[in-house]
Amino acid sequence: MNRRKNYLKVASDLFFVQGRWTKWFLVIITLVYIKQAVFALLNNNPEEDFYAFSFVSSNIYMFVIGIIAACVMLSYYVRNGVTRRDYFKGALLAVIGLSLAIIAYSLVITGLERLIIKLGNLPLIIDNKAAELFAWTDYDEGVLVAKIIGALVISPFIDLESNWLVSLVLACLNFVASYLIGWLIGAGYYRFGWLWGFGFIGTAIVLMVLWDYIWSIGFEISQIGSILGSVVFIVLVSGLIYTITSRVAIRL
Amino acid sequence: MTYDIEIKNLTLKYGNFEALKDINLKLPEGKIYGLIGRNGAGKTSLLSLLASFREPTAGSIRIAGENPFENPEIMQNVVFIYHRDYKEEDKVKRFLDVARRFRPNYDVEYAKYLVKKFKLDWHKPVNKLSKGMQSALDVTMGLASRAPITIFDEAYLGMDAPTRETFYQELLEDHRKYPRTIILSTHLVAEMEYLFEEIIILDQGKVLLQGDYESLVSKGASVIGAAATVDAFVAGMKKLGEKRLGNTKAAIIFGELNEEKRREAGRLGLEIGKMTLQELFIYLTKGEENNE
Repeated sequence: MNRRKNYLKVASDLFFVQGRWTKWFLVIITLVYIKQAVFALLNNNPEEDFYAFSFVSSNIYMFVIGIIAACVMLSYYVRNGVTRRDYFKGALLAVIGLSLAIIAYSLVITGLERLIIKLGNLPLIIDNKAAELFAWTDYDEGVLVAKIIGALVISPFIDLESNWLVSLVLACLNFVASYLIGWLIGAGYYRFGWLWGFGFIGTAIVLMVLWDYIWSIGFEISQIGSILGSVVFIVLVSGLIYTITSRVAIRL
Repeated sequence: MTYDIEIKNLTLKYGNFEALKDINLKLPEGKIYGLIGRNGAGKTSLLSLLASFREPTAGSIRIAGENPFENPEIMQNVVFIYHRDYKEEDKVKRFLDVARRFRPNYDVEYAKYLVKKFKLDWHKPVNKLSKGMQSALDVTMGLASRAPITIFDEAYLGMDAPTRETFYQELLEDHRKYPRTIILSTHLVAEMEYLFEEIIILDQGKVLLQGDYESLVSKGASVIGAAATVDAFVAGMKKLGEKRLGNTKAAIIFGELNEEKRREAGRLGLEIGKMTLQELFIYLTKGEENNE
């Protein structure tokens, strides 16, 4: 009985542990945003809403904690008698939960922001056009390197007002994918050591470009296609992580 | 479920280095085992295989008749405690909480008792504890988990002598109340030998000896007397070492001296001395080196 639920325990543990880290991250970006919004207000500049603003940094954040969690947490759980498989399932559930929590938080703050602007009749112009760019297509004229860097830094984003459902689904898929790519690097290092680990950084770069490709090129053809494509992407990357870690030796 | 351990033809390689060579062992459930061996003998490698930290290169391990690797039922019932330098900022309470959640037999009250006994502070971050206190925390987790297979790999590192003594007493007492397999890997043979019911001596990746404590220790003896008489007496016996002082010689032999032999020694004026496990261990593993 006990063992069937182990992965759920791992999932809730990891959700709360990473949630504690995330709490600080969200506090910091909220403060940065407030400073920026006040500055925009005073200078009559247009500003992105919090949802758009937090999106890029949340993606980078998820990528980073993906790397850290992979290295530290697997050995921790195996030491406590949990199988690698249960850890993997639990960690996957936790990252989905974490992504939803970040989105929920940014929706609440964005809602509050709108409310404050409306109630206070503040002359802050919300403009998310700058955020809504797709790295791959928008760097069309550029060289390949510029495209790749664009793909790494900027994730595909759709404004809530363009299509709220696709926007939320995309945000969630993006956070999960960023975490997984980080996790893949961490897992690669853990299993194969530093030298081969560099290979995983290369793989991660290719995956990030591929991710942007799915959304930028794919999106122009079919939204559903992009969503399905990214689900397949997530399943494949998860499968790769599981293959790397399912029999890995735990370091003492 | 009986948590017997059965190891067959077990080999572990790290690249080209063979850490364990064709190990065969049976460890029936319920005893306290002493796993002794010199540095690099393969103790930790063997234990990490039992704990499913890695897979063997060849051969098999069966715990309760099953392969333990990635086996949820077995893995949650095998606790492997070894000294780590904790970097975690978790407090003692949270640290132990994991065992409560993942170890089916974990005893909260016993953990509280041990925390008090070892004078640990529930609210202190683990990385702020001294090395000895971290070891006490490890031991608390290991004992309170009451896992059918509990492994302590030099878990006493950094503990002072009184704390080690507390550990040994608690281990004996709790094992008496809740019999289970406990494997103690150690360098402190002299200090811990009274704990062991059965001994396994590993040397250079191989099992040198396995047997119950009494019969193993009784196999070793020193024969002291006039050099020529000693030589004649021990001829044909397995000799582990010898010391000479003037005309007097002490030969360390291994193999049971039967009553007849003992009487003969008496007639010849030879003195038969007992060996401690520590002495045996030193002579046995030194012997291997000399044979090379």
